[in-house]
Amino acid sequence: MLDDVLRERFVPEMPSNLAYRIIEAAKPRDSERGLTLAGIGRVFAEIFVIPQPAFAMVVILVLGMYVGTSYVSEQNMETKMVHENFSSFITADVSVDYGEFL
Amino acid sequence: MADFENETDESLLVHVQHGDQRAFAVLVTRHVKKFHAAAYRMCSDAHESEDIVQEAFLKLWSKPQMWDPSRGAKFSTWFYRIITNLAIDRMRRKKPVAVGEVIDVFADTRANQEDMVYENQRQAALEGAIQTLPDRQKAALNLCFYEGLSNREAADILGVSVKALESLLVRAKTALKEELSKRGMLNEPARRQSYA
Repeated sequence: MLDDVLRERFVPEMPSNLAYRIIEAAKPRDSERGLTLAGIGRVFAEIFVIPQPAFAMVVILVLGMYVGTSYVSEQNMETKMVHENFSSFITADVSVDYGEFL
Repeated sequence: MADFENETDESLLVHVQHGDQRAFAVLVTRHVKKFHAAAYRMCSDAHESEDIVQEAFLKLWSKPQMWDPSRGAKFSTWFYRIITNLAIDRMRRKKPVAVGEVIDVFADTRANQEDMVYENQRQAALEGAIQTLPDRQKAALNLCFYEGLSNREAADILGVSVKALESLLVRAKTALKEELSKRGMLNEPARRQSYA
């Protein structure tokens, strides 16, 4: 009889996110990681494995600026070279003319 | 995580001791429900039992060397001890549980209002009677009757001999019989048909 009554005892359902909360609470925070090699590796892995929007934007911006500036300077160099070749050609032509007269 | 699913608790603990978070996650997911129920039975407080389970698991994570495999103890038996001790510590620090807290748990789970009130009263009386037991008697009852552990395992958890545990159980049941009779619960049956 006593056992039957004891079996009626009710236990409420645990919150469905309790396991998740415990697992999250166990994850080390950045400030707790310290400057160990493993800690640094973990931070890098997290950044690259799961791209973070702000970080990805900064990388794309820097990459874009680098590509943009290097393209412009190459173009300038090519223009300069063409101009130099042309003017030296003209100069040479003129000096040849003068030579013939002399 | 799939790699760890088939591993025993004890081998997961070895991984946890090496700082493997995935092994810890599997261990938590596998046992959290059982230990939450055990904590609730000790303190009769839903919020408190969540805190106890969380604290116990975080203790395990921060100090995994607490578990010594050379002793040959099963993880669950060892962890029951942590839960039980934490619950006893918290209950000693805390004021007694108000019956209202127990009653609130059953709100909205029964279809019929009258049956709901009746069941709430029964549950509150039962919970109240169990909470009148001294901590060790209550722990012995919870471990043997509700968690289904053997007397040997329960005795190990409470750090007493099997004989002492049996004595705790007998005293707990005698006291409960008396308390429940006073509250009129051993005479009237539960309205099981009214459960939704």
